[in-house]
Amino acid sequence: MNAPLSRRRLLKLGAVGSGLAAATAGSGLVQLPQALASPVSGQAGTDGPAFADGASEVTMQSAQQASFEGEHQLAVLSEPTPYTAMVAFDVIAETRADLRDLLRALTSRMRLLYKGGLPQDDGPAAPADDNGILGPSVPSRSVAFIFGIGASLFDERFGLISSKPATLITMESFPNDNLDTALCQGDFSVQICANDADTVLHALRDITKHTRGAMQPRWQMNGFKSPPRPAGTPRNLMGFMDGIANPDTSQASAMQQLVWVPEGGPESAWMAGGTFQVVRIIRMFAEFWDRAATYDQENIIGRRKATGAPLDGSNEFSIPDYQSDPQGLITPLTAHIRLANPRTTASAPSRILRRGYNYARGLDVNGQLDQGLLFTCYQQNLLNQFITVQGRLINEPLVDFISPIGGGYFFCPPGLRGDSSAYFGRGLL
Amino acid sequence: MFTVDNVSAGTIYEVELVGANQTSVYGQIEMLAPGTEDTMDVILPPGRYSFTCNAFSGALLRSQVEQVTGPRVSGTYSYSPVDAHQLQLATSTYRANVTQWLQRLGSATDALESAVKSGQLAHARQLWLPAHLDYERLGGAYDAFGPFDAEINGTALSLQGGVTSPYFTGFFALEYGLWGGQTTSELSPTAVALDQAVHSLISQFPHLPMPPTDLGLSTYEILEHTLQYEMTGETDEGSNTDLATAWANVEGTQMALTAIEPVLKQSGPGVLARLQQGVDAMAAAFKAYEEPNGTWEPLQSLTTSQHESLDGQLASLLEKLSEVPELLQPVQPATASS
Repeated sequence: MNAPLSRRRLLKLGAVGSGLAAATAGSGLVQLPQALASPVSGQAGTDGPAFADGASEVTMQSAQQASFEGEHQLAVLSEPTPYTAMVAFDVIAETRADLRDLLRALTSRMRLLYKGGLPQDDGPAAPADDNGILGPSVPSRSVAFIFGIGASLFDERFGLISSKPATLITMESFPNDNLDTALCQGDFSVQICANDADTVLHALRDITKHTRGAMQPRWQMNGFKSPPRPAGTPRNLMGFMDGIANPDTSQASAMQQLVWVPEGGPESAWMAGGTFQVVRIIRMFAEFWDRAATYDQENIIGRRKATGAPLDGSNEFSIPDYQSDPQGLITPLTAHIRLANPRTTASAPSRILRRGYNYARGLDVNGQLDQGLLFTCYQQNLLNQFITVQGRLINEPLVDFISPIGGGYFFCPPGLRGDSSAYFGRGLL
Repeated sequence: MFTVDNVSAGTIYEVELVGANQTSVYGQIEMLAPGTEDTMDVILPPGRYSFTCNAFSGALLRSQVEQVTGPRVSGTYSYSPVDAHQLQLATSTYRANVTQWLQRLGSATDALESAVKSGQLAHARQLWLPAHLDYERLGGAYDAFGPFDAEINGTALSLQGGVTSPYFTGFFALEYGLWGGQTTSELSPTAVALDQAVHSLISQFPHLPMPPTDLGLSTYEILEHTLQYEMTGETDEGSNTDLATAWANVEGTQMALTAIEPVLKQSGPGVLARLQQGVDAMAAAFKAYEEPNGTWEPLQSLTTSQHESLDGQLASLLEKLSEVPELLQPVQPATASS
């Protein structure tokens, strides 16, 4: 056995003495003055807001939001799409000039794929430029990208050692991680997001074709976003709503404080308006989880499974009041949401923008389902935000049921600022 | 379906819908915070029922008895919470068993240490397995072992640098060295540290807390671990003894189950018999892979159908064992002081 601190049932007060129940009952206290029970008619699930039988209402927000031509890579802020692929690449180009060409080519393909339209015609003697998965004409504005650069790019290969972002580090193994090096790190991360799986794969094949010989795929993890069940924040594969307490992306000031790298901070001027991306591939032991009692699951997470409400609240957007529950009698002190976001003044600056996707990639070697969470989050400072949050989660009771197996840290450069000759990473070279 | 509101200002309740005998629980909300509501979805046979509200602070409130009428219905479910005192007795029984086995473990690691120190590599390899199994058999207590577990039986999986990490200690580090070409003198510090950690555990165990509800959890958590780590071969460091470890884990489950036998006899006699049968069959299924000379067939040499059969049998047993924690819910104390 190699179990860290395990989940423990919330121990209620008093461990002995059960003989007094009858005595109390016999003393005439027979009504329910405080906790009132009242029968209701109707069946479960019929009284929520009506949603068309679970059909996907998650669509990419406005095209503008998925664009990277302005100040930022705005796909960072848009709602997760139904499908995604997170792909890490290693640069195999050898010179700084080749790296520049690669970044130009990559940016150019992302622009073309976003814009859509008829593919370039190289004449009858050449293989088609486009793979044709989406038909003869590529739909416009149907795919979004998030591009990131990993710490490994900043080595002696391209003379970039001195350009390394001050706060970009290589993801290390946290206690309870079980990292597979084949699923970790990378010189680049390219996340492709779309409403359909074929659109994601079309873009991936296009990008790999047009960057062949300059970068090589290192690992890939596909994800999907569940539709609301039955309403509200989508659920992860543990059956819990995931991402309820995210900062409000419509509030520019919150995004400035939490997500975008500011000017005049520890980082170089070219990085302002960018953001740091954390990718964590978190395997869930789905069968084990399904064998745990709902009550235990709720104490581990800190929310009601059915409604998403915090344990002291009435609906998913209720704000938990931990100050009134200092002993953790309602929400255990070790509950995931309480550790991750204690909602104190001190913890407020460590908030992150989460953009998680579910994944299911078949079976492991003994037939157990290989499912989990393709967790991504964005922040302006890795150490003060994700790493701080993760530090609070070490040995949380949830760790028995999950196993982080891969991922990495990447810096997502700012947008291209309306300059048609600009390309990602130009500020570096 | 009932909707239950807690309209109190600051009292946390557990709410139960109980039958006329006052012990059969038909519906339960284990924690209802002040100012919140939750639903209780139950199918009730005709009879007389009341609600009880157990405040976490100790007070107990009981509603008036209501009559439910109508035809007989199917799909009704109830259980009887167990006596908290009995659960404590079961925990004491279990602790006493663990204490005995710990003595045996201590002797086993003493012998292992001296074999390594005296340079007997082949002998050390022979002694490693029984010592490791003595520990794995105690799996039920792993939570009660606190940080000792990482020291004695931590795997390389979560360590930065894996097997090269300076924090890689205990049985698996020794296994890695014994089967991976290290010399006994290189391994001596590891063997000494392991033996020391085991003896610290032996002396500390009486002082390590073990909440009564842990016993129910460990009856299935031990084998969850087995399915995830031993049956995937992830933890093996060269001795090819995953199947032996799995067998020891089943024995550990038997030990936990035996301790709670008196409690389960009361709350789920049918369940107990099924579980014991299942666990015994599982132990036999693993034991079939032990050779007459005491070595074990490596996990990798199982045929696909052998592997599938063990995995499936184990997973199916886990589905049954996972009922135990719910069956072992203690009766709420009627009064308690905070």
